[in-house]
Amino acid sequence: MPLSAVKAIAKGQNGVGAFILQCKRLDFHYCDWAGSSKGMNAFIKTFLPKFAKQNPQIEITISPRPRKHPVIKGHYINGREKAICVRNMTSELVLEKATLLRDASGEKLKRVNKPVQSMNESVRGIWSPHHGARYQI
Amino acid sequence: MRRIRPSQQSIDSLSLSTRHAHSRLSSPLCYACQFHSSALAKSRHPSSLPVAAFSTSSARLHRGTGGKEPFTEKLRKKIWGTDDVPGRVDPYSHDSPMRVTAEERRELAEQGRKRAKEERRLARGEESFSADELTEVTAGAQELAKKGRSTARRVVEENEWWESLGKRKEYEPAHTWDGLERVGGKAWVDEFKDWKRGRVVFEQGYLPLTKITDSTELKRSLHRALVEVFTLQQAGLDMTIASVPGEIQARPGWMDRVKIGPSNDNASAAVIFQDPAHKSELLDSLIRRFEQQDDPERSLEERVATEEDYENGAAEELYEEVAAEASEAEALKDLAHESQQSIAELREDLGAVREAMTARGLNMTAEEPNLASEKSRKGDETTASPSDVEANQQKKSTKKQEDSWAKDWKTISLEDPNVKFAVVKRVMQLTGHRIPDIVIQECKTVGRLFDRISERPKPKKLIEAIQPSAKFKELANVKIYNRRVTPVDKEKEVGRWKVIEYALRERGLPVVGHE
Repeated sequence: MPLSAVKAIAKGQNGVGAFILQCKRLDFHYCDWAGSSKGMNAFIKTFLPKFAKQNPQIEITISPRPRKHPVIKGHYINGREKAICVRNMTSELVLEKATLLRDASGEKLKRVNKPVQSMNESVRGIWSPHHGARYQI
Repeated sequence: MRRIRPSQQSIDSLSLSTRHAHSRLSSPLCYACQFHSSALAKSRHPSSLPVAAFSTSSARLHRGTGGKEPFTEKLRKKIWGTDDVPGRVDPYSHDSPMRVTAEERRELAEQGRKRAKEERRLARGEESFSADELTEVTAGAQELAKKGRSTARRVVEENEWWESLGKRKEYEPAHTWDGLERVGGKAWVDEFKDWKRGRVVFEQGYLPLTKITDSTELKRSLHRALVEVFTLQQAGLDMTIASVPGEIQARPGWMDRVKIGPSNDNASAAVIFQDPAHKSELLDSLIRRFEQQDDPERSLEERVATEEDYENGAAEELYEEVAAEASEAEALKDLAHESQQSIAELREDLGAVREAMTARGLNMTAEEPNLASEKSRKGDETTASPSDVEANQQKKSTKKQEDSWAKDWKTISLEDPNVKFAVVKRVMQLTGHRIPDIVIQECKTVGRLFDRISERPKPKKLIEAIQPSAKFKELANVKIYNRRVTPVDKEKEVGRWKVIEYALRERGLPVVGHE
């Protein structure tokens, strides 16, 4: 039986092993006095510990911001920031907004029309009229 | 349909009654102006009285002398269509009723009087005037004269007053303060107080100047007020004795050990003294204070007679009240006597105890058992650790609370208005809190009253709630700040602040904006 090389086929992991969350940090600002912070304060007390535990790769800071509406601010690895004002929201809504910021890429919002988008160059390269088969007309 | 010409219409009936006067005096062309030009109307007006015939007004002068008539007079004649023009030559003349000054009023009054005389004389001489007309004319003149007299009198009085002012003193501006009226000083204050009359009582101050805000101290004051009021109630005395105005006596040491709670029927309160002598002592001190406040030199009957005479007119009521107060006073005296006796007995007992203790060689006076025990407790505290001290203090305060309050003390009823009044008044006096009517009305229980006079605890900050929480402590990725994160903090975090500060100082610029 002739000797055959071991078949080495690349596995399609589809980026699972190297996934990096785009959001690196979330700041939660609240006010002790103002009523618009009621939901935010409840969120910090009840939902935040669990949320922080589920997302250990995100740095979370909690700080007061007196006489101002509550805000969640996300910092992304592309250097951009996203802030959402959560005034008068319930704690559940605040959790939704926190999740939204966590999942965001940090890019500006754009309209997506194509089903597939890629930043990689095409394998075939740019089409040129001087290359390839010559057609006889 | 037959048409009536305007000249024959019913408006003419007004002039029919005075037609004879028209024939005598001028007959105006204009019906609308008839009222002004009729004899009756004319007679009412001072300028158009019959005396006007003797007037020396400019218009008449001009006519009489045949001089040149002024343009206005010509115009008036044209308007009225007659030579004898009614009304004033100048409606804004000095004697016009539109502008009459005080001085002119006097002149007018004088003229009125003269005219009245003339009128009377004319009435006597000329028979052609009707009787009605004449009476009216004279009545008008008399009225005018009367008015003139009263105004004249007033003017004279005013003038006299001004003259007297002028005679009294000429105004001289002062160059020094000698002899000037002085504001301030004790005498001035006294006078001012007298002037303010009823307010003096408030200024003296029934309430103490400083409010008690500490919750524990407030609770103790409430406890004291309740003990005093309900003890008086149980003794069958007037409960407001507790809150007579005056100095607030020091709180007796045993007061904390008097337990108070709701009575079985929930209508009142049960007060339990550890020592019955304390009860008599309390009553004794209250009664003594009441007696001191009351003027001892005036008898009870006198006081009732003088003070309440105004309010209760009936003598019987007075007698009844006097009798009631007298009996109350007797009861008070009896109680005081009893309490004094019991105190004397207690003192004897204490003396015996002291003797026995000295015989045993104990270095402790019987008069200061609390103090001695406190000293011994203090000695213990110095040897104990700080945490133990705190625990001890907590235990002590809870022990005190247990001693002074029964389990459901907050449900003690204040439904009885007399009790409520006495309690509220005493609480106000002890704590310095001015309790508004609406609160008094709403407080049905002692607990409610306490809640309303004690300040609400400050709301807890979020940081205080989450920082000690174990849930947050175990999370490595969560950072909690207890104050606002400033831009300087952010720079410090990334290690840029030192560089920035150095650069700012080098250029002589302020490091932070608010310096």
